[in-house]
Amino acid sequence: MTSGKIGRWVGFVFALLVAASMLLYTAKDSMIRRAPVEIDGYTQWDPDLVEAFGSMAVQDGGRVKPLSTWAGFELLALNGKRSIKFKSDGKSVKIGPTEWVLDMMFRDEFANKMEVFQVEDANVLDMIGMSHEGKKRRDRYSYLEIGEHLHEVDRLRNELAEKRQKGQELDLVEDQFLGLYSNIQSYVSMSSHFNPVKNRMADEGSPLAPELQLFSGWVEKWPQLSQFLSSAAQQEGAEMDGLRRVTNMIATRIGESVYSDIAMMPPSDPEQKSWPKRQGWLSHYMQFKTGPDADQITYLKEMEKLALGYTYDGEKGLLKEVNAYKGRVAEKMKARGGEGDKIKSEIMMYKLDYFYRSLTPFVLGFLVVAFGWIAPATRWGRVCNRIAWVLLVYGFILVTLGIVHRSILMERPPVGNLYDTIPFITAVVILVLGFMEWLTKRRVCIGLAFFFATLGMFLAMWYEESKGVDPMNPLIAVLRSNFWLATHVITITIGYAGGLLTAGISHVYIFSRLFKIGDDDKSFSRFLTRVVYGGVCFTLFFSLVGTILGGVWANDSWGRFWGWDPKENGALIIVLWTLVILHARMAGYIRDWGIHICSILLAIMVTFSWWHVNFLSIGLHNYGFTGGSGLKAIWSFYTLEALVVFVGLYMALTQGKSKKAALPEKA
Amino acid sequence: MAKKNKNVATRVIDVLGGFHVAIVSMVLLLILTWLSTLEQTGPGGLYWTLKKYFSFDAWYVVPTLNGKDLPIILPGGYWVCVVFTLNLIFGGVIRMRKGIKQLPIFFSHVSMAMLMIGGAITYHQSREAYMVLPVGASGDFAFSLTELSVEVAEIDGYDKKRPYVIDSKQLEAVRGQVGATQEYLFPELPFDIRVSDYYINAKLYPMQGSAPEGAVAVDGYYAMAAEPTGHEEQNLSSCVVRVIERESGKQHEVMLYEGVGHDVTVTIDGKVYGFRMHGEVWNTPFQVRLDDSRGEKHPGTGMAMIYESDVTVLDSDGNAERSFKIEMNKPLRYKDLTFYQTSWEEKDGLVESGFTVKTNPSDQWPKYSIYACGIALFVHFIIKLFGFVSSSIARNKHD
Repeated sequence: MTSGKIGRWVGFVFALLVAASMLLYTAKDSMIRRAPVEIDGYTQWDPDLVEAFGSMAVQDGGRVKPLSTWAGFELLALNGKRSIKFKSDGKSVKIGPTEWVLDMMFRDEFANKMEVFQVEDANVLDMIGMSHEGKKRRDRYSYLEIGEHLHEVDRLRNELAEKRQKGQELDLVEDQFLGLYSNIQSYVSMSSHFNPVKNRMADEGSPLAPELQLFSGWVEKWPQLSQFLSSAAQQEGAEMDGLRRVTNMIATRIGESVYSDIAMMPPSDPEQKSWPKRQGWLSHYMQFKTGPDADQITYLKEMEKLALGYTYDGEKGLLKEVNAYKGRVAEKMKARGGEGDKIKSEIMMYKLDYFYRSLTPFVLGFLVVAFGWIAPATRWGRVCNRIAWVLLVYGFILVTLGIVHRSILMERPPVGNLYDTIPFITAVVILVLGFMEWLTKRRVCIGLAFFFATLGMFLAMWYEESKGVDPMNPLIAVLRSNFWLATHVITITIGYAGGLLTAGISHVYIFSRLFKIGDDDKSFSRFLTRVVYGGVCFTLFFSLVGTILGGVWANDSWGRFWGWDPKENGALIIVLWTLVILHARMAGYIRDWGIHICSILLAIMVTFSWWHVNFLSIGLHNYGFTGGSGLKAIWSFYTLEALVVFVGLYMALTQGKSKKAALPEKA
Repeated sequence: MAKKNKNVATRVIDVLGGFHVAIVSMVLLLILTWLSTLEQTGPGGLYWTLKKYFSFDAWYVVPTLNGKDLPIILPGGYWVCVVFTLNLIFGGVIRMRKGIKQLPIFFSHVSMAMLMIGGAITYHQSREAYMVLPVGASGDFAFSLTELSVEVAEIDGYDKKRPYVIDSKQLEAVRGQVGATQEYLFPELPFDIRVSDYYINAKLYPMQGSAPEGAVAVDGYYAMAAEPTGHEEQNLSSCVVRVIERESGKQHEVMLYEGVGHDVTVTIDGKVYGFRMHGEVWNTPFQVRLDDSRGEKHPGTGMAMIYESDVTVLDSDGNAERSFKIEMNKPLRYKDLTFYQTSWEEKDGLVESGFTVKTNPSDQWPKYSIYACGIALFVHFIIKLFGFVSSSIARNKHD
């Protein structure tokens, strides 16, 4: 067997291993680690109701979005996944975010049993004296389990808030506890949203006036009614007992009303941008600490209609009320300049799930290319190549459509935050490597394209899951410049892509030399070196232009061209390193091995600038997440790349020695 | 053939313009940038890290990581940039081979040299301060958020006469130096002063019993040094000023604290003198009136969406000269000054806008240099790419 053939089999096995590990990662959540929780008697929601409820408008994070999007990110933040699995009456059940919110709001007897609170470290539970026997260190818990310790949760939270106020730093476990606290707050806000209005104050046959049979009626007429109730409290008699019961009911509903901070209805004034949130308004109003608010009262009435629709007529009643409510709200939103007119489009975007769907052609394509490597010059190899191209183009179209659709929804250029960089870099890498493959036809660049594409899409999924925050929320004032987003951010991101794909090609060089692939074809190594040289030039151009454009933008925003911000420094490091490579090459200080080893180091620098700086918690560009797993992944990458560098250095030195040994002696 | 004898200047240019100097200076700059990025996360913060790594006075740097000094000494970043710029000029411009093919690279080197020189001008010549104006008010001064001064002025009723200023450079001798004392002479005033116990970040406490050991108690208060925050503008400094009457030799002691917004007074020979410590004041060449200011947050969030202000520049008689609108990313550039919308606050119906005021002779140099460099590099790389594509297509045809 020639070295080339062995090498192609090595490449094929490597591709299989990569594809298998990626499939395993996707399937990890399907693998049952321990018995899922049992929630007997659970029935699935009517799909029409789920769709209608999920398409209601919610204002969150500074924009109007579908309830299904909001619910998805709420669930991600708590649970780390967009779905919940459990067993009911012996059957496996899987529900999505909208169904979960419906359960929380209308059937909390089921919702409270669902294990949705992901706790990263069981030490967090030790802080509140909660048992976690039988569970793993990183596991999920239900509200029912945590609810027994709410008193401790509140006490500890106040303690840590005081600690923070004194300027003391919190340790990782304390930080995670505060994260859990925030999740509990979100949960309670959602589950108590309809509580004050879930039931009528009195049945329809009661002697109370019709408007007073509803809680909203009491709220609306509260200034007059409260006086009547306080005097009734002093008197005796069966009627007075009834009124005292009403007073207690009102007090209970007020108590339950303070947690909700969901904005589901636009205000009547088209000029007012913020939608009303109940929070403490009802409590303050009923205690005369604040005046009446027509929008809040309307909001309460609308929520009451929805809640009573379910209470008295089940899912059918709720569906009817939801559709009627959406009609009324649509009129209001139209008057507010078409607010929410992208809701349908956004629902479609999440349904199409471009990035997740693109994984199929990318993983398949990688396997197909690998199969083609076994016998490239045969008909089999050519057929594999054609199929691979079709899959690459299909995957690229999906990723591009996803990027374009998001841009249209956000009304800004495609890259505005860290999440946006991932699919964009993936698309650029596919485009550039696809172009290289078209030019060179070596089936190396196309394989690399599939590899990077798959990694990129997994990274996007992992980042979204771990952050649990809607990446389409609007940007802060200083970033709201479409010109600069389209120039500086795009060029810098292309620079990152260039650095990574260049390093990827250098990996192919190092491993092909290590496994002696292509030893029978000298032009193969030369080709890889030329491509890497071109990649370094490409990276330099975009990184340099992007970095300095960033400085020009910063000068217009903050009055300083260069502030030594970590993100700026990271970009400068990339520029300097690419300059070092090109100048060292020009001066003859480095040759083939040197370029490739330096290119691997470039990947480390790109990772530092793209990801690591976000963990430093400082600087105007700090918008990343600080989870421990993210930092671990980065250090693992550095270690891996350092290993590759050492392999390269070893190969370079040993090959250098054997070349010297092979030189004939001078006469 | 005998080698040409080069004179000293030529040899220096050859060395400074060589590839090895280029590569070494770029690698050093890379290492300094990386280490300073990591050190910013420490207690020193950005301000002190930059002073340590990139200031004119920093000839060498001993980097610190996780609170420990590393066992290496690196040249200071400012001086590495100087060497790099000389290398760009000597090697990238003067010594570089000239020809039509090398033109794009030549232009990119020229523009990068321009960028570096612009950076040096910014470092030495630019000045920055902060101006806060409520709507309707006008102002002709801004104050530094990081450079503090001590001001001494005679107060006559409600009027304050021209202050005598001990600026931040003059206070360097005592700033943050434990046990240091510095005397400042005021020939035009009947006293001199001695400044001591200057804490970069301090907390003021009322006296309850006796002051802790080492703390100086003045007028029922004492200051204790606190760990400086990573943001210099958030540190509140304090110092003790001993006022020494020249004729009688009588001494008065006052505590100055940056967090206090008024003067501390001493009466000498029937005259009242006010002492104050605050950001160094910079008088602007013209007055600016804030006519209106608008701020908006993203609905339902505390995140800023828009901050913008309508201002009018007034002439020396107080008449309106020109009106401007200042927005985020769209500063006002007028007569060598630039005003940036930096902050916005509404409290009890009163709106206040904060502007960063800056002067910088090389303000637009980076823009011009990147346009030139970008075009030059684009042309250069397109030519290279064209060559690569042509040869690849030719090779494929041959195969």
